[in-house]
Amino acid sequence: MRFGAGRLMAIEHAQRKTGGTASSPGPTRRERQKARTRDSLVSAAADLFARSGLRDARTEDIARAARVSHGTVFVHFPTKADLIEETIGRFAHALTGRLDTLLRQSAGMSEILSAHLAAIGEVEALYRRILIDLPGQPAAVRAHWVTIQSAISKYFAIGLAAHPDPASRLDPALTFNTWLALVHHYLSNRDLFAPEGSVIERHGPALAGHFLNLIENREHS
Amino acid sequence: MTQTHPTCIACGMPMRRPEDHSGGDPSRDWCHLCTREDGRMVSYDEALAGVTGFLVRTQGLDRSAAEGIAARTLAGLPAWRDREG
Repeated sequence: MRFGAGRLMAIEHAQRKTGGTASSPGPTRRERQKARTRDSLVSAAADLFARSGLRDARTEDIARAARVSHGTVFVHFPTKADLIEETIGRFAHALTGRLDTLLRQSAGMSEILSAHLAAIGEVEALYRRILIDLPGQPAAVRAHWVTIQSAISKYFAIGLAAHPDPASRLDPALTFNTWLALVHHYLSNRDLFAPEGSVIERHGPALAGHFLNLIENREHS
Repeated sequence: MTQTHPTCIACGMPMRRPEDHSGGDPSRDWCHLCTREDGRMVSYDEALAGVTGFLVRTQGLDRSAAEGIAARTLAGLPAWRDREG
C-alpha cells in the first residue's frame, strides 16, 4: 500500500498526542485549534516539499494549501527553517516507526533490504527531496536524517553478522553505506532511472538482488 | 497501518515488545540497552557514548560528527531535555 508523507505524518502525529489526564485538564478549544493549524501547516509543507523540494517550496503556497493567511505561517514558525525542521522531524519520527515495524518482521538480509525499500517507497517523493536538499541544511535537519538511517543500520548490522560467510565478515558500516549509496544514487537521479514514476517500484528488486549477489560474492544468475 | 511506538526516553530507540524495555518491564520507559546491571537507567555520559558508538559502528560516521549528532538527538529526549549544560 502506498500513501503520501503527509498522511503518514498526520496519523503518526495524531497517535503521539495525548489528551489531558485526571490531574491536568485537557487543552482548551483555542489550544486545540492552534495545534490543528500547526498540523495543517506541517502537512501542507510536507506535500509541497515533496513536490518542489525544501529550498524551492514557497511559504505562500504552503499557507494557501493549509488554507491560512501567509502571516499565520510565521505565527507558528518564525522562519521557513523552523517549519522545515519540524516537518522533517515529524517525517523522521513517522518513518523510523514504520521502518522499525517492517524490519522487526524481517528475517535475513533479503527481507531487510526489501523492507527498507518498501518503507522508502511509501514516502518516496519527500524522502528523495530531503536527500537532494540535505547538503547545507542546519544540523538539526541532518540529525533527523541520521536518525532515519539509524532505524535501518541497526537491523542491517544484525542481519549482516548473521548472514553466511563471506558477508558476515564484511565491515558493517562500509557495507551499509554501499547499500545506501546505491539506493540514494538511483533516487537522486530519478530523471535518469525512472522519469515517469517510482524509482523503488521500478528498480528496487533489481538493486536488492544485485546487492545480495555482491555481499555473497556470487555471480549474477 | 502506522502504529504508535513508544521510544526510549534515554536514547530514542523504538520499544514495541516488552523485552525492548528495561528488564522486560513495559512500565519502564527506558530500553534494555540503556539499563545498567542494577536495572537503573544509564547516565547522560553513558547514553551519549552508546549512541555515538552505534553511529560510528553501523554508519561509519566520524567520531566527533557522531558525537554532535548524538548530543542533538539526546537533547530532545525526555530523560535529558531539562539537563543543564
